[in-house]
Amino acid sequence: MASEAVLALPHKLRVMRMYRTGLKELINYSANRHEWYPRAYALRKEFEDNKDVSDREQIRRMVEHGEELLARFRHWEPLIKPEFIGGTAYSINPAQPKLKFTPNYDYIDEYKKGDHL
Amino acid sequence: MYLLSVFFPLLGGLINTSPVARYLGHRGSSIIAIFCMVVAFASSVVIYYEVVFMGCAVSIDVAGTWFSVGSFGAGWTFNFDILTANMLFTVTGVSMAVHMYACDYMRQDPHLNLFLGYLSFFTGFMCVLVAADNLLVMLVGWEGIGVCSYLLIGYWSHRLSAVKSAQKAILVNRISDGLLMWGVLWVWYHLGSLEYDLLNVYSASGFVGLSILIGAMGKSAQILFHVWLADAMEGPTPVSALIHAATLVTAGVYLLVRLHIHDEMFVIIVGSLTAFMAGVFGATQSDLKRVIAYSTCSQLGYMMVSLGLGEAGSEASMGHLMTHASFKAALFLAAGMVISGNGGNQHIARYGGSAHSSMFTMLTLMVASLSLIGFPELSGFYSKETILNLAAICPDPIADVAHTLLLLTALLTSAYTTKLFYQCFMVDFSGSSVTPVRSILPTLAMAILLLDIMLKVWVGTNLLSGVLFFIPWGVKTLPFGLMLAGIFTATAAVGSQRFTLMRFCGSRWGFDQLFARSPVNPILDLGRITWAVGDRGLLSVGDLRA
Repeated sequence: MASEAVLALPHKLRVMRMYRTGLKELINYSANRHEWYPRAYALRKEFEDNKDVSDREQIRRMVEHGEELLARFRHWEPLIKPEFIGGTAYSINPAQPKLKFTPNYDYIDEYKKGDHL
Repeated sequence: MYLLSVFFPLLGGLINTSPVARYLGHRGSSIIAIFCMVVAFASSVVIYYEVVFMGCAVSIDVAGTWFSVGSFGAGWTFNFDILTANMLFTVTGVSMAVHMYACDYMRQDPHLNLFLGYLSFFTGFMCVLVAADNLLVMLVGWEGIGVCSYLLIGYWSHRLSAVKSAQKAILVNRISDGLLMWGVLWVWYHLGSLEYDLLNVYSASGFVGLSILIGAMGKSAQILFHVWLADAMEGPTPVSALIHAATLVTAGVYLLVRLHIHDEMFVIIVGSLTAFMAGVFGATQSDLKRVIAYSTCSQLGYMMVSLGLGEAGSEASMGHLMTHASFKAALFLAAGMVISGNGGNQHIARYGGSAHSSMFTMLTLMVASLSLIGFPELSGFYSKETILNLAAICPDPIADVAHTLLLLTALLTSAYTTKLFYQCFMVDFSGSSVTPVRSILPTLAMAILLLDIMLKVWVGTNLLSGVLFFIPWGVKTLPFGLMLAGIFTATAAVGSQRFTLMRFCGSRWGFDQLFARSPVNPILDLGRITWAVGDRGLLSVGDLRA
């Protein structure tokens, strides 16, 4: 039982995530948007064709089959924008950590004179 | 004066990595770095003139004896002979160009002075390596370039994959360096000295030669030690241009030429396998810099094969090294321009239409690519054809296998290089499809070169090598055919939305449009002008009806 970790999301979330991840993976496999549009349309059509299935067991089997297919067809070199995680320019010059307090820049010169001590 | 080319880069590196550079700022560091490199390059030009043309090789004892143990002493001596002069010229020239490029490319990086300092240190150590007179000083330079390569690949130290790639590079190099040092130790044991003048590595055992070969293999990214080169593209583009195209990866080839290690079957086998393997990998990558890295690896395989073909092969290998350094560095710098033009994106599947935005980048990449694939009359042609011809005439059967593999690699090289060029510049999905080249000069240049190819195919090959190599004309012209085959294959594979073979033939090869554009319309224009200005204008001045 412990080896089979089951994803216990609500059905709607699973289906939505499957659809959106599928669309993004189709972009990875398409050289350009014009190639992707008909594929995205076909994917939508496949989801729409099975919209009215009511048998729980069949639904479960179809969702699991879909997730299996998605896991098999993940692209080996997904398209990632350079500054995002996994991109080629990710974290090349990261932001500095901020100070715990911000100094009062208007009075810094005054404090440096030392009269307040 | 001769030592300026070795020590000025080190001085520049020292200044730029010290805390002093913080007060110099970006401008000051750039000035110092470029000044030091210009001085070094000028010095190496003088060295080249003096040593190669005037024939005065120079040996300079810089600091006397380093250490002396019993009967063995090692000294800090630099020797400037023809081989050193060639390498110094290449290294300092490419390094000067890369320093200038880096000052602009990395202008938004907060630690530019450190970057320039590392680049200068790298150049300095490489000059120490090539100018060394004994194996110990050479090893100082060897280790130095390894360390500087680590620092430069992992320059963006907050980026995990860059740090991992730097570790991979230095660890793989460390394995081969360890074998190299063991071989140097055995050389010392057998021959009692580490000076180049006194060495004959063949009189030591075969194992010594083998371990030095493996040391060179590691630095030059040959087949089993090639894994670091692709990941070394994590570093900034100027680093790739300097290190992984022109200088560090040629250190292994330089060492083998220096120690007169040629006529080795092992080198031929390793080199030809590397060339073919890297060609296959380069054709299937989708990261721009990785493709160029694998093409570097492939050309290094060419150099290794030619090293195994004898004394003439060593000279051909050095020639290919020099030409390869220049066009590969140009290729990387152009790739850097493409990458920055695409906003940091290195995935070639999302490139296209850059020819509209930058004709200069396109021309740079085109010329460098043509030189890489051995287009006639460019530098890469002469060096590559020499290696191929030498492999063809070598009587050893292994050299025949190597020749075949190198020809296949030439086919693959032209295929993936053309594919890369098309994907970067020609393919355009923004609606106004394929880029027409509107300017006259490139078209004219291409026409001249095409006539040149046709002449060569008719005559047999470049007109000089009829003097040097007597091989059947079919064998000599085969590389051209394969290069053109690769170009056509890549053109067919990439395809085009606007150009199709059927439609091109359907429009009768565009002859109608050609004649309409070129002579016909200006003649008709001439008629119109003479009618409008002449008959209606000048000749009817006396016409009272007007």
